[in-house]
Amino acid sequence: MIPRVLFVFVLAASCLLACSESGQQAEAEIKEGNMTRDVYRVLESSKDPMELASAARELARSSQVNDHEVLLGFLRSEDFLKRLDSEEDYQGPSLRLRVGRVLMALRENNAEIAHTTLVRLTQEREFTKNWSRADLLILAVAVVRSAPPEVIKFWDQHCQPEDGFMSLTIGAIVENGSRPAMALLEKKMADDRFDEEERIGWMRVVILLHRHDLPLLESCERMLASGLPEKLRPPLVEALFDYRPDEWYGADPDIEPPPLEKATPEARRQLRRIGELASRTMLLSVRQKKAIEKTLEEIDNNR
Amino acid sequence: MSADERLRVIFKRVHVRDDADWIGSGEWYFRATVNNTPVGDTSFTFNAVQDRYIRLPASQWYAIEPVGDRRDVIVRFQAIDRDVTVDDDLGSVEKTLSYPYRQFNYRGRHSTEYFILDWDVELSVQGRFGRHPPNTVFATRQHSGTVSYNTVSGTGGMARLEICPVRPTPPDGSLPRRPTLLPSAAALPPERNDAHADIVTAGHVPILVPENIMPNPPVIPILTPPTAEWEPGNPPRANSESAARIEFSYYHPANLNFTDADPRLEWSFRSLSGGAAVGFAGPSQGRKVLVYGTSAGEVLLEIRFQGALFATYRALVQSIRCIRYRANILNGPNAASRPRSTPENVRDHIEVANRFLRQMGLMLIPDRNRPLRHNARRTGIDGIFRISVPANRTRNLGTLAAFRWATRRNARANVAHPNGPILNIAYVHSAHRPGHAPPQPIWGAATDFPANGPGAAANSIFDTDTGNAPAAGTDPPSPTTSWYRAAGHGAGVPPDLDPDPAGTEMGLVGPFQRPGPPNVSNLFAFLISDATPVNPATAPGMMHFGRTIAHELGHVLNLRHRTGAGDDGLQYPEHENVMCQGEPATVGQDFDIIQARAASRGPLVTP
Repeated sequence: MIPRVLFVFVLAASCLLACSESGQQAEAEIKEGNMTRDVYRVLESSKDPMELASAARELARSSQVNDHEVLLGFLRSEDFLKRLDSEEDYQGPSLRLRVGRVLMALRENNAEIAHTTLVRLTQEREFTKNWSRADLLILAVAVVRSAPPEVIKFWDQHCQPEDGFMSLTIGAIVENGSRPAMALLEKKMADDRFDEEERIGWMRVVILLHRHDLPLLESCERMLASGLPEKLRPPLVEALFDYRPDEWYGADPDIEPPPLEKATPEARRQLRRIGELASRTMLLSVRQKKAIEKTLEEIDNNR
Repeated sequence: MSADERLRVIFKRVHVRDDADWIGSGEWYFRATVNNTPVGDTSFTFNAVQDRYIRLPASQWYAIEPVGDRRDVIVRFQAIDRDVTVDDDLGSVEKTLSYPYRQFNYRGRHSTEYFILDWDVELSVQGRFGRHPPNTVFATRQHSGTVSYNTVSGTGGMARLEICPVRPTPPDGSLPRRPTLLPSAAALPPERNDAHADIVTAGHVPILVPENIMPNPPVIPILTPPTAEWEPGNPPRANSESAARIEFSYYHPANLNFTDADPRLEWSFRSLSGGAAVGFAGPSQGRKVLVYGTSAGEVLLEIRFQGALFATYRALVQSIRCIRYRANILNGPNAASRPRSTPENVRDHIEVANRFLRQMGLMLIPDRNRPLRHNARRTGIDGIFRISVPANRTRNLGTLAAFRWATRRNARANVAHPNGPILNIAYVHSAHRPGHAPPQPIWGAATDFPANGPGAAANSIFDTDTGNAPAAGTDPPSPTTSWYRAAGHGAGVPPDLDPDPAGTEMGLVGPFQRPGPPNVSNLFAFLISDATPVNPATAPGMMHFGRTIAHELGHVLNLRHRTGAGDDGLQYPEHENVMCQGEPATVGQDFDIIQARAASRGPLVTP
């Protein structure tokens, strides 16, 4: 039997604790509200680009829906975007723009709402009509997996012959690696409106850098089986199994394939399947055959 | 002035303490010798009055002794009183002067009971006896990597001079180890002259910057001597803005206070090969000289510190070779797809590049010929054109195919062109390596160049002091001989311990050519990307773009990176070479002798 005094004491203590916690929560909410209001004030009226970038990034790093709504509102606003980066800033490289830092903050934020904000931005004409901002958004949405239809559509629109985005977009698509992204990659690789040499270039740079990523390997298998024009299949095999920096990159051979020992067992199995498929069905040069053999041997040795 | 190590003993006066005569003054004569050689007139009799001085005629009572061999100098002085019957010996004083010698006034230090001798020791410096400031250097001696010196006050130390071929000079920790100096560099600090060249600063117009602004180049250009007659077709005249600037980068100790035209430092040269010869535009003295070539080959400049070999500097002597170029600005359909560089900016960038290239005796000159291609439009500046292209041909270029499309625009066919090959430069909006997150911006990319030479010579080049081929299996981890010989342990002074006597081997790149008919495949081309944070119209921008042009031209001339991806095997210097990948233009400024050799035999460089 709990003594009455003790019961009352425990009850009182519980009430006090509850009040304290709700008080703390309220205080946090107030603080957060104040912070949001301060950030809002800065975004609304500041003319200091550094201050604006800092405030926008704070919202980009948040996990609160409200913060992202606020952020999105400003990223739609031409006035805000002009205050953030000047006309002269836009004449320089896109990667140096302050709006890029905001997008990178969204990219690095693991909260779902951050990725949702990125996806929504792809539909904002005011934002994407500027080519430098479009560059940055193409790269930023690469982390949204699986790539939703809006992103696929955005990438597709920004990977057209002669548009000035295509190599950036191909890079983002391959980095993304999701099934819809790979489908888009296969579509572009099969599109004869793109220069053949350009597509070979994508293989030797973008695909080579990711050539042990399983989704990409699965996509390559599909391309070799049927999706890719026949003329382009041997170069794809080379990009997966060979490495000729002096011939492919000249005086700046600063692209290196990932080491085979870091490939997952699934990726190695997939690579083996591709190697066997290529050897079986394709007319390969002696050098190409040797490159496949060497890789398969390494896979065996690394088992 | 060659070494002048002489010592002069001057007998100045004699103080008469006791005239040694009972009545009246004495009649004295003197016998003096310096290293047993008589001095003065012993037949002359002086009147010796007690407590008075006898002044000895300066024209007679001195002796000069060469002391380059550091011999002892024995000084003797005897006074004798002439008498009717027997002369009285009044005694003699003696002093041995030993190395290190010093100038000194001996007052009251040498005496007998009858007299006190006042005498001086003077040292000759640059042909002149007299009383010199105490820190004046009297004698020098060559050692391995240093020169020992003695001053007129008998002090001394170890001195060192460097003429580093790498400018800006790398920090001490990156240089070959120096010999031990005494006093140490901590006790007596050195004097340095090792900063980078400010080719362009705010307000400067590159074309007005002297062509020879980069000091210590590996190539001394052949020029018309300053006083010779000049005719059209002759090389330009040698002057303060055209001759090669060769200057010290370091000397120790700083209190030697060498000046730019210091007569203590004398320059000369000798031919290492080819009968090379040079002249000096101005004095051949001091810590800085202007040198021009008169006959091609390889030459060794020697600097002597009062006769002792102090440092050497090796260089090639060649004519300036011109490379014709076309530069095409590829403009997309809108502002977001156009390079920022204007034709005036491109012209300035080329001028800056020429300052870097001058080190190798190369110069870019615009192609003035008429036929244009691919709808290229003239800009009013020779050799610089504009071409309208789709956005994807100038923006976000990411593949070799895209690079090569750009550099093909308005290229001149290079098949046996009467004026020699034409270099093609494309200015694009942006280029990068896709597939990285974020993509790596590319400042420039060389897209087309043939091999440097036939067969195995296409893959590497050797540099030796004698020009001989190295022993088979030479393994070149050491720096180039130019680096080593001039700034290494021996400062290029015998007996240098050259760690790689067989020579140095540098890897070359190439060929890198697109397939196709000769007028497509035989291109020399690179692109320059605007994807940099610097504005191409500003001084930092001009430096950046100018250096990038020089770097990419280096690749077209088959030079690999010195450090960075696909390096040439030498690895020195780590940052300060133009071919060091990704270095800022205020650091990566140097071309060296082995690169100059390779560049000069490339097919783009007409003889």
